[in-house]
Amino acid sequence: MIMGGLKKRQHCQDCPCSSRQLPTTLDGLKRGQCCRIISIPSEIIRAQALRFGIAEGEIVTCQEKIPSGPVVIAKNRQEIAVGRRLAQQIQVQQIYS
Amino acid sequence: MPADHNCHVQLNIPPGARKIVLAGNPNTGKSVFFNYLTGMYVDVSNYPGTTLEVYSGRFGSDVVIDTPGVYGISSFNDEESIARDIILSADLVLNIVSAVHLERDLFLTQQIIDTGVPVIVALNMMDDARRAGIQVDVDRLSELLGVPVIPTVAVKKEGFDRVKRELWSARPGHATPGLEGELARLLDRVGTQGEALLLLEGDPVIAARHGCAPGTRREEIYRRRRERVNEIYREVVRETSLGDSFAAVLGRLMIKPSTGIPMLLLALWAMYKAIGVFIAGTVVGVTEGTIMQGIYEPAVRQFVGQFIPPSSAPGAILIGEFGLLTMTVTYLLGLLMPLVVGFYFFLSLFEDSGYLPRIATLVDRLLTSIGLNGRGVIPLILGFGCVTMATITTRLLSSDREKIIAIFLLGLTIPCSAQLGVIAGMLAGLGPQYVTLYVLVIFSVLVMAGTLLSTLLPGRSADLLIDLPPLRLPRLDNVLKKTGVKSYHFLKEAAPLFALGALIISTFQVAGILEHLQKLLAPLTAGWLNLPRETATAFIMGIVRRDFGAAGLTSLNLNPLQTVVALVTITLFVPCIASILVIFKERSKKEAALIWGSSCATAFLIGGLIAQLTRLFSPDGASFQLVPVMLVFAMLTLAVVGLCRLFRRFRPSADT
Repeated sequence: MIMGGLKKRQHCQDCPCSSRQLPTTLDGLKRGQCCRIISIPSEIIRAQALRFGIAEGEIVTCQEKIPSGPVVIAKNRQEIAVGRRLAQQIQVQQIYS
Repeated sequence: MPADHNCHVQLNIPPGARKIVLAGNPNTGKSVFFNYLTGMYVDVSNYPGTTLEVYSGRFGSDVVIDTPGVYGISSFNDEESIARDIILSADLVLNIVSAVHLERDLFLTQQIIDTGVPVIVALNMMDDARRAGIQVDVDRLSELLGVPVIPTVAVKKEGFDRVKRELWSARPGHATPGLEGELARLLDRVGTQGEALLLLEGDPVIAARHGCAPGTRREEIYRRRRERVNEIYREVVRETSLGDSFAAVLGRLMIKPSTGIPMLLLALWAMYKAIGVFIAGTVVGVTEGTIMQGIYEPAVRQFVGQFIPPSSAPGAILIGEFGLLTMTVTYLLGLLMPLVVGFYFFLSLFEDSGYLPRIATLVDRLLTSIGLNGRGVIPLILGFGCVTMATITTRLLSSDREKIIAIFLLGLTIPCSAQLGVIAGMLAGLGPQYVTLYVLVIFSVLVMAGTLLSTLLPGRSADLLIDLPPLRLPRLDNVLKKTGVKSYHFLKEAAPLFALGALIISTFQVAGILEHLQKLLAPLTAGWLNLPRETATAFIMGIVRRDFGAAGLTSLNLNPLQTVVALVTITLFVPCIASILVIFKERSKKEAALIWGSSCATAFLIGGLIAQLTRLFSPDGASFQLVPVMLVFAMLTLAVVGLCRLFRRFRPSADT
């Protein structure tokens, strides 16, 4: 179950030019799905995210979703927990492969 | 306490010594390098206005300074400000980088390089990286950064002799492309490239130092730096496998509620067993009973008694029932020290292993309903160590609203380690239903107070955004060092207040005020709380420190229900003098006074409620019916939460 998420992550990085992209918000992802970050709401949060290596345009995986709690996203080996309400404001494009 | 945030760290630096600064992200192994370079003799200096210590030591004729682990340098929090000031004044920076997290860590590396200071990089955790299937092209990394890079394995001291030998080959590296020109233009205005950089990045403190407006280019510079780092990362790192380590699996299980909550409960249970049962019972039995009361107190009484008669006023103050040399020393060293050390040991384990941010993630949802976010769990957990220190760390919360909520909840509901130890010790003998009652009541007060504050205070809480560092086995030397430093600070802070409390109580006793106060408070203690009058002494002691008050309860003869009532009241009672002083400093006088007054009122209200409800539900008086009392508290909590929900729904929403 847990390994599944990782395999999918590997897969989406292999084909960033995916066939179909739908705009949504980060909290709309399911575990194991990948997305490209389109926009992050505030300047200070963008600065913090940039330090962690997550910028607008970057591709990340939804690693874990705590029921009505934070969404954990991962890029390579970096994991970040994002509060649910913030996740609702982060625009992403889901990537299907 | 000085509160000058802008002031530089005061360190003893001999003339002519060069400053070698260690810098890196949290948990990269900096302290191992520090200990290796400096050996045994280390200076610890407190950074003004914070709870943070700065370590420094000698390396030959030069000085080595450690900095707090940070992700970047700016003014986002105290750690960053300290790291920024120390790095800007460095002659050389030894940057410790985790080979497992190069993508994240290199951001700080590149930022330090952009300050223009000579840098040497220790690429640490090479063994972990190899095991995780990560290959790093060290030569290419050095070439791209423009500074020497030495691969190391800190735990095995691999590569350390090379670091020592080649330390001074450090040199200024390649700045983020496009930045040199802009920095050069500012250079003649502000003096150093580092200050020029932070000015461009809009650091308010640096801007104020130079009397100019902060730049507005942070985001653009961060973006360019991030692109540069990603480029370097792509070029030097090869991932051969994406195998999931045991730590990664465990880390994920810790944040999933279905597995994370049982794990958290298990951790808390282990902590309770170790601190509440083993330390509070067995260890304290030896330290307090055998050593302090059995050997120390008679000896000191006999010695002092030769010069001052024990029945005289100074005799009572020094060696009487609440004596400065007897009770104060026994409580402090015999009772509290073992408990405090035990608590900080666990806290350091959680911190060092990377468990703490995972707890924050797990409980984020719960804390948002009391107006905090997952980060708020850090001051709340720290509060179980020392409420005063935790109150200072509420600075890391991002909005004023969260700070007020956290400070109030800390002052009201969180017992500090010393108090918790005494409480756990007293509860352990009563049986599970009393423990449940105590925990349930304190928890429901926490939920009610948080929900009410969250509803009544304007605005809304900030959102969670935290890094989940890889889990690792905590390193014993790190844990012991942290435990030692924190326990020492706790005792240093508690001892004078304890002495003050003992002095007040003894003076009251000698002057006959104590008995008078006990009579005066009798309607409250005996009438409303159903406790013996003497408990008034414990509450008066509790004004100084709550643990002091709780310890005062141990000597009274209480039945199980009285014990729980007294413990609940003393837990919710006013924050200790040190905490309230900090609250006065951090918040306005009005707010601090309000917090003090409402804690006191809540404590007696809730304590009395338990006593009166139990009396109501147990008419025969032979056995206490606790279940209905618990149900009433649970319903009360639900009612408050429900009403607050309704109120929020109908209130015109002020937030965006």
